[in-house]
Amino acid sequence: MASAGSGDEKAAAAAMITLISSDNEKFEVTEATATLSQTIRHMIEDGCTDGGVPLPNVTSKILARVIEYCKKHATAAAGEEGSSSSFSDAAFLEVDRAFLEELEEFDDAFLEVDRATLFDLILAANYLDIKGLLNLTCQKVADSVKGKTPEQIREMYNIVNDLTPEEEAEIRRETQWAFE
Amino acid sequence: MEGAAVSLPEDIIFDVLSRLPVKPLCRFRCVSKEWRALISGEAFVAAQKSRAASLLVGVFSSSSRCTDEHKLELRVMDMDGSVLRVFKDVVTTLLLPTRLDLVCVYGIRGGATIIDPAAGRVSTVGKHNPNTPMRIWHYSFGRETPSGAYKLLRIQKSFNDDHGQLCEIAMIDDSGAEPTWRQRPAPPFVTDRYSGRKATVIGTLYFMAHTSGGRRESWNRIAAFDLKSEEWTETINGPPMGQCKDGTIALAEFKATLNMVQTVRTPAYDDGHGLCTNIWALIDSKKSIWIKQYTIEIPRNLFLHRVLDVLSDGRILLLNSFWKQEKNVFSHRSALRYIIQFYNPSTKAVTDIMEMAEEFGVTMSFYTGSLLS
Repeated sequence: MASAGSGDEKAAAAAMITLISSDNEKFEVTEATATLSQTIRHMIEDGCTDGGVPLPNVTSKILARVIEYCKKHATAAAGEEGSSSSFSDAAFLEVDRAFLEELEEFDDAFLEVDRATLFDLILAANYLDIKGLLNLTCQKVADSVKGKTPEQIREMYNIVNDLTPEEEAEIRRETQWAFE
Repeated sequence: MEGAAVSLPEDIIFDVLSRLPVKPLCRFRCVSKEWRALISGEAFVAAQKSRAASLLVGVFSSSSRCTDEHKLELRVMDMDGSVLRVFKDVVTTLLLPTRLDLVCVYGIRGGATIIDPAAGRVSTVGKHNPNTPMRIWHYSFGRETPSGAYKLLRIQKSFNDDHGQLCEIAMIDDSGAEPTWRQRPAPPFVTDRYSGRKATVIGTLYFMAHTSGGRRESWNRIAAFDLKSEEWTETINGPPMGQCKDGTIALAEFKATLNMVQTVRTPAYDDGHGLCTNIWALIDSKKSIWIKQYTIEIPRNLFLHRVLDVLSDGRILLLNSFWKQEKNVFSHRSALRYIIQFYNPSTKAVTDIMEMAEEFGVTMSFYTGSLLS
Protein backbone atom coordinates (compact mmCIF):
# COMPACT_ATOMS: atom_id res chain seq x y z
CA MET A 1 0.00 0.00 0.00
CA ALA A 2 1.54 3.27 -1.10
CA SER A 3 -0.01 5.12 1.77
CA ALA A 4 1.04 8.65 2.55
CA GLY A 5 2.36 7.85 6.00
CA SER A 6 1.69 10.76 8.30
CA GLY A 7 3.73 11.27 11.40
CA ASP A 8 0.94 10.00 13.66
CA GLU A 9 0.63 6.83 11.71
CA LYS A 10 4.32 6.09 12.05
CA ALA A 11 4.12 6.69 15.77
CA ALA A 12 1.13 4.37 16.02
CA ALA A 13 2.93 1.74 13.99
CA ALA A 14 5.84 1.87 16.37
CA ALA A 15 3.69 1.21 19.45
CA MET A 16 3.14 -2.50 19.95
CA ILE A 17 0.47 -4.13 22.10
CA THR A 18 0.52 -7.68 23.43
CA LEU A 19 -2.77 -9.59 23.39
CA ILE A 20 -3.09 -12.73 25.50
CA SER A 21 -5.60 -15.40 24.52
CA SER A 22 -7.58 -17.58 26.94
CA ASP A 23 -5.08 -20.40 26.42
CA ASN A 24 -2.23 -18.04 27.30
CA GLU A 25 -0.77 -17.50 23.86
CA LYS A 26 0.74 -14.06 23.27
CA PHE A 27 0.22 -12.02 20.11
CA GLU A 28 2.21 -8.86 19.32
CA VAL A 29 0.23 -6.39 17.21
CA THR A 30 0.58 -2.74 16.27
CA GLU A 31 -1.60 -0.23 18.06
CA ALA A 32 -3.25 0.62 14.72
CA THR A 33 -4.33 -3.01 14.36
CA ALA A 34 -5.40 -3.42 17.98
CA THR A 35 -7.49 -0.24 18.09
CA LEU A 36 -9.94 -1.56 15.52
CA SER A 37 -11.32 -3.08 18.69
CA GLN A 38 -13.12 -0.39 20.67
CA THR A 39 -12.66 -2.48 23.80
CA ILE A 40 -8.86 -2.46 23.40
CA ARG A 41 -8.86 1.19 22.33
CA HIS A 42 -10.49 2.12 25.64
CA MET A 43 -7.95 0.02 27.55
CA ILE A 44 -5.10 1.83 25.77
CA GLU A 45 -6.68 5.19 26.51
CA ASP A 46 -6.98 4.22 30.17
CA GLY A 47 -3.30 3.22 30.12
CA CYS A 48 -3.89 -0.34 31.30
CA THR A 49 -2.16 -2.34 28.58
CA ASP A 50 1.28 -2.67 30.16
CA GLY A 51 2.18 -6.31 30.53
CA GLY A 52 -0.29 -7.32 27.82
CA VAL A 53 -4.07 -7.37 27.41
CA PRO A 54 -5.63 -10.60 28.71
CA LEU A 55 -8.63 -11.72 26.62
CA PRO A 56 -10.10 -14.58 28.66
CA ASN A 57 -13.07 -15.00 26.28
CA VAL A 58 -11.05 -15.58 23.11
CA THR A 59 -9.06 -18.70 22.24
CA SER A 60 -5.73 -18.47 20.40
CA LYS A 61 -7.29 -20.07 17.31
CA ILE A 62 -9.98 -17.38 17.08
CA LEU A 63 -7.72 -14.53 18.18
CA ALA A 64 -5.30 -15.36 15.35
CA ARG A 65 -8.17 -15.03 12.85
CA VAL A 66 -9.42 -11.80 14.43
CA ILE A 67 -5.91 -10.30 14.25
CA GLU A 68 -5.65 -11.37 10.61
CA TYR A 69 -8.87 -9.43 9.92
CA CYS A 70 -7.76 -6.36 11.90
CA LYS A 71 -4.36 -6.19 10.20
CA LYS A 72 -5.96 -6.16 6.77
CA HIS A 73 -8.61 -3.61 7.69
CA ALA A 74 -6.23 -1.36 9.65
CA THR A 75 -4.29 -0.85 6.41
CA ALA A 76 -7.55 -0.06 4.67
CA ALA A 77 -8.47 2.54 7.29
CA ALA A 78 -5.05 4.20 6.92
CA GLY A 79 -5.52 4.27 3.14
CA GLU A 80 -8.90 5.97 3.44
CA GLU A 81 -7.51 8.74 5.64
CA GLY A 82 -4.78 9.43 3.09
CA SER A 83 -7.21 9.68 0.20
CA SER A 84 -9.53 12.16 1.86
CA SER A 85 -6.80 14.60 2.85
CA SER A 86 -4.57 15.24 -0.10
CA PHE A 87 -5.22 12.82 -2.96
CA SER A 88 -8.30 13.11 -5.09
CA ASP A 89 -7.02 12.53 -8.60
CA ALA A 90 -8.34 9.74 -10.79
CA ALA A 91 -5.18 7.65 -10.49
CA PHE A 92 -5.49 7.55 -6.76
CA LEU A 93 -9.19 6.67 -6.92
CA GLU A 94 -8.24 3.81 -9.23
CA VAL A 95 -5.79 2.50 -6.65
CA ASP A 96 -8.52 2.94 -4.04
CA ARG A 97 -11.01 0.94 -6.01
CA ALA A 98 -8.54 -1.88 -6.65
CA PHE A 99 -7.77 -1.98 -2.96
CA LEU A 100 -11.46 -2.09 -2.00
CA GLU A 101 -11.96 -4.98 -4.38
CA GLU A 102 -9.01 -6.78 -2.83
CA LEU A 103 -10.54 -6.14 0.60
CA GLU A 104 -13.84 -7.62 -0.51
CA GLU A 105 -12.05 -10.73 -1.78
CA PHE A 106 -10.24 -10.98 1.53
CA ASP A 107 -13.54 -10.76 3.43
CA ASP A 108 -15.14 -13.45 1.27
CA ALA A 109 -12.23 -15.82 1.81
CA PHE A 110 -12.14 -14.94 5.51
CA LEU A 111 -15.73 -16.10 5.92
CA GLU A 112 -15.04 -19.56 4.47
CA VAL A 113 -15.20 -21.26 7.88
CA ASP A 114 -17.45 -23.79 9.58
CA ARG A 115 -20.43 -22.63 11.58
CA ALA A 116 -18.81 -23.14 14.99
CA THR A 117 -15.84 -20.95 13.99
CA LEU A 118 -18.19 -18.34 12.51
CA PHE A 119 -20.12 -18.20 15.80
CA ASP A 120 -16.87 -17.92 17.77
CA LEU A 121 -15.80 -15.05 15.51
CA ILE A 122 -19.13 -13.31 16.15
CA LEU A 123 -18.72 -13.72 19.91
CA ALA A 124 -15.16 -12.40 19.74
CA ALA A 125 -16.16 -9.45 17.52
CA ASN A 126 -18.96 -8.66 19.95
CA TYR A 127 -16.72 -8.89 23.03
CA LEU A 128 -13.89 -6.90 21.42
CA ASP A 129 -16.38 -4.45 19.86
CA ILE A 130 -15.04 -4.61 16.29
CA LYS A 131 -17.92 -3.16 14.26
CA GLY A 132 -16.74 -4.20 10.79
CA LEU A 133 -16.11 -7.80 11.78
CA LEU A 134 -19.40 -8.08 13.66
CA ASN A 135 -21.26 -6.68 10.67
CA LEU A 136 -19.50 -9.04 8.27
CA THR A 137 -20.08 -12.19 10.32
CA CYS A 138 -23.70 -11.40 11.25
CA GLN A 139 -24.49 -10.77 7.58
CA LYS A 140 -22.91 -14.12 6.71
CA VAL A 141 -25.20 -15.91 9.18
CA ALA A 142 -28.22 -13.96 7.90
CA ASP A 143 -27.44 -14.97 4.31
CA SER A 144 -27.09 -18.60 5.32
CA VAL A 145 -30.51 -18.82 7.04
CA LYS A 146 -32.51 -16.74 4.56
CA GLY A 147 -33.84 -19.61 2.45
CA LYS A 148 -34.32 -22.12 5.26
CA THR A 149 -37.51 -23.65 6.65
CA PRO A 150 -38.34 -23.43 10.38
CA GLU A 151 -37.47 -27.14 10.73
CA GLN A 152 -34.04 -26.59 9.21
CA ILE A 153 -33.44 -23.62 11.50
CA ARG A 154 -34.28 -25.68 14.58
CA GLU A 155 -31.91 -28.40 13.45
CA MET A 156 -29.09 -25.99 12.55
CA TYR A 157 -29.29 -24.09 15.80
CA ASN A 158 -30.40 -26.81 18.16
CA ILE A 159 -33.64 -25.06 19.05
CA VAL A 160 -36.43 -27.01 20.71
CA ASN A 161 -39.85 -26.23 19.27
CA ASP A 162 -41.89 -25.30 22.33
CA LEU A 163 -44.91 -24.04 20.38
CA THR A 164 -48.04 -26.17 20.59
CA PRO A 165 -49.23 -27.64 17.27
CA GLU A 166 -52.20 -25.26 17.49
CA GLU A 167 -49.97 -22.21 17.92
CA GLU A 168 -47.78 -23.28 15.03
CA ALA A 169 -50.80 -23.87 12.80
CA GLU A 170 -52.10 -20.41 13.68
CA ILE A 171 -48.82 -18.71 12.69
CA ARG A 172 -48.82 -20.61 9.42
CA ARG A 173 -52.43 -19.60 8.75
CA GLU A 174 -51.82 -15.92 9.51
CA THR A 175 -48.91 -15.62 7.09
CA GLN A 176 -49.53 -18.45 4.71
CA TRP A 177 -47.84 -16.56 1.87
CA ALA A 178 -44.50 -16.75 3.67
CA PHE A 179 -44.53 -20.54 3.47
CA GLU A 180 -45.32 -20.80 -0.23
CA MET B 1 -18.16 -28.65 18.34
CA GLU B 2 -19.60 -31.24 15.95
CA GLY B 3 -22.88 -29.44 15.41
CA ALA B 4 -23.59 -29.43 19.12
CA ALA B 5 -25.05 -26.52 21.02
CA VAL B 6 -23.30 -23.47 19.70
CA SER B 7 -25.70 -20.74 20.58
CA LEU B 8 -25.55 -17.01 20.19
CA PRO B 9 -26.65 -14.40 22.70
CA GLU B 10 -30.07 -12.89 22.15
CA ASP B 11 -28.77 -9.48 21.02
CA ILE B 12 -26.72 -11.19 18.30
CA ILE B 13 -29.73 -13.21 17.14
CA PHE B 14 -31.67 -9.95 17.06
CA ASP B 15 -28.93 -8.39 14.92
CA VAL B 16 -28.75 -11.35 12.53
CA LEU B 17 -32.51 -11.68 12.08
CA SER B 18 -33.05 -7.94 11.57
CA ARG B 19 -30.99 -8.30 8.36
CA LEU B 20 -33.52 -10.68 6.83
CA PRO B 21 -36.39 -9.81 4.51
CA VAL B 22 -40.01 -10.11 5.66
CA LYS B 23 -40.78 -13.47 4.09
CA PRO B 24 -38.29 -15.70 5.95
CA LEU B 25 -39.03 -13.76 9.16
CA CYS B 26 -42.72 -14.62 8.98
CA ARG B 27 -41.71 -18.26 8.53
CA PHE B 28 -39.26 -18.15 11.43
CA ARG B 29 -41.99 -17.08 13.82
CA CYS B 30 -42.81 -20.75 14.15
CA VAL B 31 -39.28 -21.83 15.08
CA SER B 32 -39.97 -21.42 18.82
CA LYS B 33 -41.79 -19.26 21.36
CA GLU B 34 -38.65 -17.19 21.86
CA TRP B 35 -38.26 -16.50 18.14
CA ARG B 36 -41.95 -15.71 17.79
CA ALA B 37 -41.76 -13.12 20.57
CA LEU B 38 -38.51 -11.65 19.20
CA ILE B 39 -39.72 -11.29 15.61
CA SER B 40 -43.02 -9.71 16.69
CA GLY B 41 -41.50 -7.19 19.11
CA GLU B 42 -41.85 -3.49 18.38
CA ALA B 43 -38.10 -2.80 18.58
CA PHE B 44 -37.37 -5.65 16.21
CA VAL B 45 -39.98 -4.56 13.66
CA ALA B 46 -38.50 -1.05 13.70
CA ALA B 47 -34.91 -2.33 13.35
CA GLN B 48 -35.81 -4.61 10.46
CA LYS B 49 -37.71 -1.88 8.67
CA SER B 50 -34.83 0.58 8.90
CA ARG B 51 -32.43 -2.02 7.51
CA ALA B 52 -34.55 -3.59 4.81
CA ALA B 53 -34.75 -2.29 1.27
CA SER B 54 -38.09 -0.68 0.41
CA LEU B 55 -40.96 -2.86 -0.63
CA LEU B 56 -42.29 -2.30 -4.11
CA VAL B 57 -45.91 -2.23 -5.19
CA GLY B 58 -47.05 -2.94 -8.74
CA VAL B 59 -50.30 -3.58 -10.58
CA PHE B 60 -50.47 -6.78 -12.65
CA SER B 61 -53.20 -8.20 -14.82
CA SER B 62 -54.43 -11.62 -13.86
CA SER B 63 -56.25 -12.32 -17.08
CA SER B 64 -57.40 -15.86 -17.56
CA ARG B 65 -57.03 -17.00 -21.15
CA CYS B 66 -60.12 -19.24 -21.09
CA THR B 67 -62.67 -16.67 -20.00
CA ASP B 68 -60.99 -13.66 -21.55
CA GLU B 69 -61.71 -11.93 -18.33
CA HIS B 70 -59.35 -9.11 -17.51
CA LYS B 71 -58.71 -8.60 -13.85
CA LEU B 72 -56.11 -6.50 -12.14
CA GLU B 73 -54.30 -7.27 -8.94
CA LEU B 74 -51.90 -5.33 -6.77
CA ARG B 75 -48.75 -7.08 -5.58
CA VAL B 76 -46.43 -6.07 -2.76
CA MET B 77 -42.92 -7.36 -3.50
CA ASP B 78 -39.48 -7.23 -2.00
CA MET B 79 -36.30 -6.60 -3.97
CA ASP B 80 -35.60 -10.33 -4.13
CA GLY B 81 -38.66 -10.67 -6.33
CA SER B 82 -40.76 -12.44 -3.67
CA VAL B 83 -44.44 -11.53 -3.81
CA LEU B 84 -45.47 -10.85 -0.23
CA ARG B 85 -49.10 -9.78 -0.55
CA VAL B 86 -51.67 -9.81 -3.33
CA PHE B 87 -54.83 -7.71 -3.47
CA LYS B 88 -57.24 -8.90 -6.11
CA ASP B 89 -59.81 -6.96 -8.10
CA VAL B 90 -58.06 -3.63 -8.27
CA VAL B 91 -60.05 -1.21 -10.46
CA THR B 92 -57.31 0.33 -12.62
CA THR B 93 -53.57 0.40 -13.16
CA LEU B 94 -53.44 4.04 -12.06
CA LEU B 95 -51.24 3.61 -9.02
CA LEU B 96 -50.00 6.76 -7.33
CA PRO B 97 -46.21 6.72 -6.98
CA THR B 98 -45.95 7.40 -3.26
CA ARG B 99 -43.73 6.32 -0.41
CA LEU B 100 -46.25 5.82 2.38
CA ASP B 101 -47.67 3.16 4.69
CA LEU B 102 -50.79 3.11 2.47
CA VAL B 103 -51.15 2.62 -1.28
CA CYS B 104 -53.64 4.41 -3.55
CA VAL B 105 -55.12 3.31 -6.88
CA TYR B 106 -57.72 5.43 -8.68
CA GLY B 107 -59.95 5.52 -11.73
CA ILE B 108 -60.35 8.55 -13.98
CA ARG B 109 -64.14 8.33 -13.85
CA GLY B 110 -64.54 8.05 -10.13
CA GLY B 111 -63.36 6.53 -6.89
CA ALA B 112 -60.01 5.84 -5.34
CA THR B 113 -59.02 2.64 -3.56
CA ILE B 114 -56.86 2.93 -0.47
CA ILE B 115 -54.97 -0.22 0.45
CA ASP B 116 -53.31 -0.94 3.78
CA PRO B 117 -51.02 -3.91 3.01
CA ALA B 118 -50.13 -4.60 6.67
CA ALA B 119 -53.73 -4.73 7.88
CA GLY B 120 -54.97 -6.30 4.64
CA ARG B 121 -57.59 -3.56 4.43
CA VAL B 122 -59.01 -2.23 1.16
CA SER B 123 -61.46 0.67 1.07
CA THR B 124 -62.91 2.56 -1.85
CA VAL B 125 -63.80 6.20 -1.41
CA GLY B 126 -65.25 8.96 -3.61
CA LYS B 127 -67.41 6.73 -5.76
CA HIS B 128 -68.82 8.35 -8.87
CA ASN B 129 -72.31 9.78 -8.58
CA PRO B 130 -74.13 8.90 -11.82
CA ASN B 131 -76.20 12.09 -11.58
CA THR B 132 -73.26 14.44 -11.93
CA PRO B 133 -72.04 15.35 -15.42
CA MET B 134 -69.17 13.33 -16.86
CA ARG B 135 -65.88 14.55 -15.53
CA ILE B 136 -62.27 13.45 -15.52
CA TRP B 137 -60.93 12.83 -12.04
CA HIS B 138 -57.45 12.54 -10.79
CA TYR B 139 -56.04 12.04 -7.35
CA SER B 140 -53.01 12.75 -5.25
CA PHE B 141 -52.22 11.35 -1.83
CA GLY B 142 -49.93 12.24 1.05
CA ARG B 143 -49.45 12.86 4.74
CA GLU B 144 -49.85 16.20 6.42
CA THR B 145 -46.83 17.27 8.47
CA PRO B 146 -46.29 17.19 11.35
CA SER B 147 -49.51 15.36 12.31
CA GLY B 148 -48.99 12.50 9.84
CA ALA B 149 -52.69 12.48 8.90
CA TYR B 150 -53.40 10.97 5.48
CA LYS B 151 -55.17 13.29 3.04
CA LEU B 152 -56.49 12.52 -0.39
CA LEU B 153 -56.87 15.33 -2.92
CA ARG B 154 -58.99 15.00 -6.02
CA ILE B 155 -59.23 17.33 -8.96
CA GLN B 156 -62.12 17.06 -11.39
CA LYS B 157 -62.60 18.78 -14.67
CA SER B 158 -65.19 18.40 -17.38
CA PHE B 159 -64.17 16.64 -20.60
CA ASN B 160 -64.32 19.64 -22.90
CA ASP B 161 -63.64 22.57 -20.64
CA ASP B 162 -60.16 23.25 -19.36
CA HIS B 163 -61.42 25.78 -16.88
CA GLY B 164 -63.60 25.16 -13.91
CA GLN B 165 -61.42 22.59 -12.21
CA LEU B 166 -62.98 21.40 -8.97
CA CYS B 167 -60.60 20.61 -6.16
CA GLU B 168 -61.63 18.68 -3.06
CA ILE B 169 -59.82 17.15 -0.11
CA ALA B 170 -60.66 14.47 2.42
CA MET B 171 -58.95 13.03 5.49
CA ILE B 172 -58.45 9.27 5.20
CA ASP B 173 -58.71 7.20 8.38
CA ASP B 174 -58.85 3.46 8.81
CA SER B 175 -62.61 3.27 9.32
CA GLY B 176 -63.18 2.56 5.63
CA ALA B 177 -66.20 4.90 5.71
CA GLU B 178 -66.75 7.51 3.00
CA PRO B 179 -64.84 10.59 4.18
CA THR B 180 -66.15 14.14 4.14
CA TRP B 181 -64.99 15.93 0.99
CA ARG B 182 -64.28 19.60 1.46
CA GLN B 183 -63.90 21.97 -1.45
CA ARG B 184 -60.61 23.83 -1.79
CA PRO B 185 -59.50 26.52 -4.26
CA ALA B 186 -58.82 25.31 -7.80
CA PRO B 187 -55.15 24.88 -8.78
CA PRO B 188 -53.51 27.95 -10.38
CA PHE B 189 -53.53 26.25 -13.81
CA VAL B 190 -54.75 23.03 -15.39
CA THR B 191 -52.78 20.18 -13.85
CA ASP B 192 -51.59 17.05 -15.61
CA ARG B 193 -53.44 13.96 -14.44
CA TYR B 194 -50.75 11.46 -15.52
CA SER B 195 -49.35 9.86 -12.36
CA GLY B 196 -45.74 10.42 -13.46
CA ARG B 197 -46.34 14.17 -13.45
CA LYS B 198 -47.34 14.32 -9.83
CA ALA B 199 -45.24 13.80 -6.74
CA THR B 200 -45.70 13.75 -3.00
CA VAL B 201 -42.82 15.18 -0.99
CA ILE B 202 -43.26 15.15 2.79
CA GLY B 203 -46.35 17.36 3.40
CA THR B 204 -46.70 18.78 -0.09
CA LEU B 205 -48.35 17.57 -3.30
CA TYR B 206 -46.81 18.72 -6.60
CA PHE B 207 -48.46 18.82 -10.02
CA MET B 208 -47.04 19.67 -13.41
CA ALA B 209 -49.00 21.89 -15.75
CA HIS B 210 -51.07 20.10 -18.37
CA THR B 211 -49.32 20.47 -21.72
CA SER B 212 -51.89 20.02 -24.47
CA GLY B 213 -53.54 22.83 -26.42
CA GLY B 214 -50.49 24.69 -27.73
CA ARG B 215 -49.53 26.40 -24.51
CA ARG B 216 -45.93 25.51 -25.21
CA GLU B 217 -44.36 28.33 -23.27
CA SER B 218 -46.09 27.57 -20.02
CA TRP B 219 -45.61 23.81 -19.64
CA ASN B 220 -42.58 24.03 -17.38
CA ARG B 221 -44.46 25.00 -14.22
CA ILE B 222 -45.31 23.11 -11.07
CA ALA B 223 -48.19 23.81 -8.68
CA ALA B 224 -47.69 22.98 -5.00
CA PHE B 225 -50.44 22.13 -2.52
CA ASP B 226 -49.67 22.16 1.19
CA LEU B 227 -51.55 19.41 3.02
CA LYS B 228 -51.60 21.21 6.36
CA SER B 229 -52.92 24.62 5.32
CA GLU B 230 -54.82 22.95 2.45
CA GLU B 231 -53.84 25.84 0.20
CA TRP B 232 -52.00 26.12 -3.11
CA THR B 233 -48.67 27.69 -2.28
CA GLU B 234 -46.09 29.10 -4.69
CA THR B 235 -45.88 28.05 -8.32
CA ILE B 236 -42.43 26.67 -9.08
CA ASN B 237 -40.70 27.14 -12.41
CA GLY B 238 -39.12 23.97 -13.75
CA PRO B 239 -35.37 23.63 -14.30
CA PRO B 240 -33.74 25.28 -17.34
CA MET B 241 -34.15 22.36 -19.70
CA GLY B 242 -34.30 24.22 -22.98
CA GLN B 243 -37.20 23.42 -25.26
CA CYS B 244 -37.17 19.74 -24.33
CA LYS B 245 -38.63 19.09 -27.76
CA ASP B 246 -38.29 15.35 -28.09
CA GLY B 247 -38.01 14.65 -24.44
CA THR B 248 -40.30 13.38 -21.74
CA ILE B 249 -40.42 14.74 -18.25
CA ALA B 250 -41.67 13.38 -14.97
CA LEU B 251 -41.79 14.46 -11.36
CA ALA B 252 -40.54 12.25 -8.56
CA GLU B 253 -39.59 12.28 -4.92
CA PHE B 254 -36.07 11.13 -4.11
CA LYS B 255 -34.45 11.53 -0.70
CA ALA B 256 -37.35 13.71 0.51
CA THR B 257 -36.75 16.24 -2.27
CA LEU B 258 -38.74 17.10 -5.39
CA ASN B 259 -36.94 15.98 -8.55
CA MET B 260 -37.61 16.39 -12.23
CA VAL B 261 -36.59 13.55 -14.50
CA GLN B 262 -35.97 14.60 -18.07
CA THR B 263 -35.20 12.17 -20.88
CA VAL B 264 -33.76 13.68 -24.06
CA ARG B 265 -32.06 12.59 -27.25
CA THR B 266 -28.36 12.78 -26.91
CA PRO B 267 -25.86 13.69 -29.60
CA ALA B 268 -23.36 11.46 -27.81
CA TYR B 269 -24.27 8.53 -30.01
CA ASP B 270 -23.17 8.66 -33.64
CA ASP B 271 -26.62 8.41 -35.16
CA GLY B 272 -28.15 10.82 -32.69
CA HIS B 273 -30.77 8.31 -31.61
CA GLY B 274 -29.51 7.61 -28.14
CA LEU B 275 -31.34 8.83 -25.08
CA CYS B 276 -30.05 10.19 -21.86
CA THR B 277 -31.90 11.06 -18.69
CA ASN B 278 -31.15 14.00 -16.42
CA ILE B 279 -32.23 14.16 -12.82
CA TRP B 280 -32.76 17.67 -11.48
CA ALA B 281 -33.25 18.23 -7.76
CA LEU B 282 -35.17 21.23 -6.45
CA ILE B 283 -32.98 22.90 -3.85
CA ASP B 284 -34.91 26.15 -3.35
CA SER B 285 -38.64 26.16 -4.06
CA LYS B 286 -39.07 29.90 -3.37
CA LYS B 287 -36.50 30.86 -6.00
CA SER B 288 -37.11 27.81 -8.26
CA ILE B 289 -33.47 26.73 -8.12
CA TRP B 290 -32.69 23.27 -9.47
CA ILE B 291 -29.43 21.36 -9.70
CA LYS B 292 -28.75 18.69 -12.29
CA GLN B 293 -27.53 15.91 -10.02
CA TYR B 294 -27.22 12.90 -12.30
CA THR B 295 -27.15 12.01 -15.96
CA ILE B 296 -28.08 8.45 -16.80
CA GLU B 297 -26.89 6.75 -19.97
CA ILE B 298 -27.97 3.16 -20.09
CA PRO B 299 -26.94 0.54 -22.69
CA ARG B 300 -28.86 0.88 -25.93
CA ASN B 301 -30.67 -2.42 -25.66
CA LEU B 302 -32.54 -1.00 -22.67
CA PHE B 303 -35.26 1.62 -22.52
CA LEU B 304 -35.58 3.66 -19.37
CA HIS B 305 -39.17 3.69 -18.30
CA ARG B 306 -38.97 5.29 -14.88
CA VAL B 307 -36.43 6.39 -12.35
CA LEU B 308 -37.79 4.77 -9.20
CA ASP B 309 -35.34 5.94 -6.58
CA VAL B 310 -31.98 7.52 -5.86
CA LEU B 311 -30.26 5.82 -2.94
CA SER B 312 -28.08 7.56 -0.39
CA ASP B 313 -25.00 5.75 -1.75
CA GLY B 314 -25.67 7.30 -5.18
CA ARG B 315 -27.02 4.18 -6.89
CA ILE B 316 -30.15 4.79 -8.93
CA LEU B 317 -33.04 2.34 -9.09
CA LEU B 318 -34.54 2.14 -12.58
CA LEU B 319 -37.52 0.50 -14.18
CA ASN B 320 -36.28 -0.41 -17.65
CA SER B 321 -37.68 -2.42 -20.52
CA PHE B 322 -36.02 -4.55 -23.18
CA TRP B 323 -36.96 -6.85 -26.04
CA LYS B 324 -36.74 -10.40 -24.83
CA GLN B 325 -36.31 -13.25 -27.32
CA GLU B 326 -38.77 -15.95 -26.43
CA LYS B 327 -38.16 -19.25 -28.12
CA ASN B 328 -40.42 -22.22 -28.04
CA VAL B 329 -41.01 -25.18 -30.34
CA PHE B 330 -43.32 -23.19 -32.56
CA SER B 331 -41.90 -19.73 -32.88
CA HIS B 332 -39.26 -17.17 -32.14
CA ARG B 333 -40.69 -13.90 -31.03
CA SER B 334 -39.66 -10.83 -29.12
CA ALA B 335 -41.70 -9.52 -26.25
CA LEU B 336 -41.22 -6.28 -24.36
CA ARG B 337 -40.38 -7.11 -20.77
CA TYR B 338 -39.75 -4.89 -17.77
CA ILE B 339 -36.84 -5.19 -15.43
CA ILE B 340 -35.76 -3.39 -12.27
CA GLN B 341 -32.09 -2.50 -12.25
CA PHE B 342 -29.56 -0.52 -10.31
CA TYR B 343 -27.56 2.06 -12.23
CA ASN B 344 -24.18 3.22 -11.00
CA PRO B 345 -23.67 6.80 -12.29
CA SER B 346 -19.87 6.71 -11.92
CA THR B 347 -19.34 3.48 -13.88
CA LYS B 348 -22.55 3.64 -15.99
CA ALA B 349 -23.02 -0.04 -15.18
CA VAL B 350 -26.44 -1.61 -14.71
CA THR B 351 -27.12 -4.49 -12.30
CA ASP B 352 -30.26 -6.61 -12.53
CA ILE B 353 -32.54 -6.68 -9.51
CA MET B 354 -35.59 -8.49 -10.84
CA GLU B 355 -37.46 -9.06 -14.03
CA MET B 356 -41.14 -8.26 -13.83
CA ALA B 357 -43.73 -10.89 -14.65
CA GLU B 358 -45.19 -10.75 -18.16
CA GLU B 359 -48.53 -9.39 -16.94
CA PHE B 360 -46.96 -6.32 -15.30
CA GLY B 361 -49.07 -3.18 -15.69
CA VAL B 362 -46.07 -0.80 -15.70
CA THR B 363 -47.01 1.36 -12.71
CA MET B 364 -45.06 1.16 -9.49
CA SER B 365 -45.02 2.63 -6.03
CA PHE B 366 -43.17 2.08 -2.80
CA TYR B 367 -44.64 0.76 0.42
CA THR B 368 -42.94 1.95 3.60
CA GLY B 369 -44.96 0.05 6.19
CA SER B 370 -43.90 -3.24 7.71
CA LEU B 371 -45.62 -6.52 6.93
CA LEU B 372 -44.23 -7.87 10.21
CA SER B 373 -46.48 -5.75 12.40
